Amino acid sequence: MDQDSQDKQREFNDEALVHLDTLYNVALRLTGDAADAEDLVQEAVLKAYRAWDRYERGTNCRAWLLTILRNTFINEFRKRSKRPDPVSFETVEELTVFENVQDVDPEGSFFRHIVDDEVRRAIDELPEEFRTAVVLSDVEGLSYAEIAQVMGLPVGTVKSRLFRGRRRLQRRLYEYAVEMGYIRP
Amino acid sequence: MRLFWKRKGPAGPRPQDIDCGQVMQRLYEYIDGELDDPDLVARIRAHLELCQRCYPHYGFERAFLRFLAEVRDGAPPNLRRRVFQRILEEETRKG
Ligand SMILES: [Zn+2]
Repeated sequence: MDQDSQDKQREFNDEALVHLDTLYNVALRLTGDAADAEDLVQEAVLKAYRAWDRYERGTNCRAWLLTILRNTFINEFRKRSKRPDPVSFETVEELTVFENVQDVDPEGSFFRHIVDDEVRRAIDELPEEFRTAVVLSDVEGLSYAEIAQVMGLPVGTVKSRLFRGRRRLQRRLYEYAVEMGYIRP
Repeated sequence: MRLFWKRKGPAGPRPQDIDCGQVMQRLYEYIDGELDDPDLVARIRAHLELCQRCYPHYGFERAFLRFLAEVRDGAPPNLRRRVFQRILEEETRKG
């Protein structure tokens, strides 16, 4: 292997592969399946490696990689996804859960009782356009501008998806907590 | 509009400079640090400090978001090795 290849691999390792955990976590929430998530990450990383010369040095590498990952998911993975895509614009109550809990648990301690698997399931049940925004923001800590870049949307749309996605997720977790008796309805 | 002030505010923006509805509308942007208008940030902060209705709601939303941040899954240990393998194959294929 020549020196150029080795340099490229080293640079790619230092700048891109440090984001592997983020890529995997987002892939897992997009596909809902561990094996699919690994395939998706491998495909996306390989594409990124091939396009590495076109990555503009010093710009946001994490957002660049996530853009490739999400486009790969939409173009190649969504079709063979094992779970049906939830209906996107079904009417769901998007009122804040705070109204329900303010008298019994205003600090939201009931969240602490919900196991991680149930949270993952609730996230996975969100329609993709909400799910991606919520995962990028609230699990991975991306800014609105970064999410807008990854999803190819105006910042205003990101805001509203985040707002609605969070409210839906909150409602789902609250209903689960009520079912399990973690909080009085 | 009914107000629920806890006490008299300090100098600076007064809590009534923005109403509860407007605060709720911008609450996530405020929590996320995504408001670029410093005056608006100051007005919301002054309101939250003194409004007995909005302040607990603010605490609840923050608890929810802190909770979400904890469900992160890391990549399985083998994935890094497999990704490297694919890259090496790519370089070998290229010759
Ligand atoms: Zn208020």
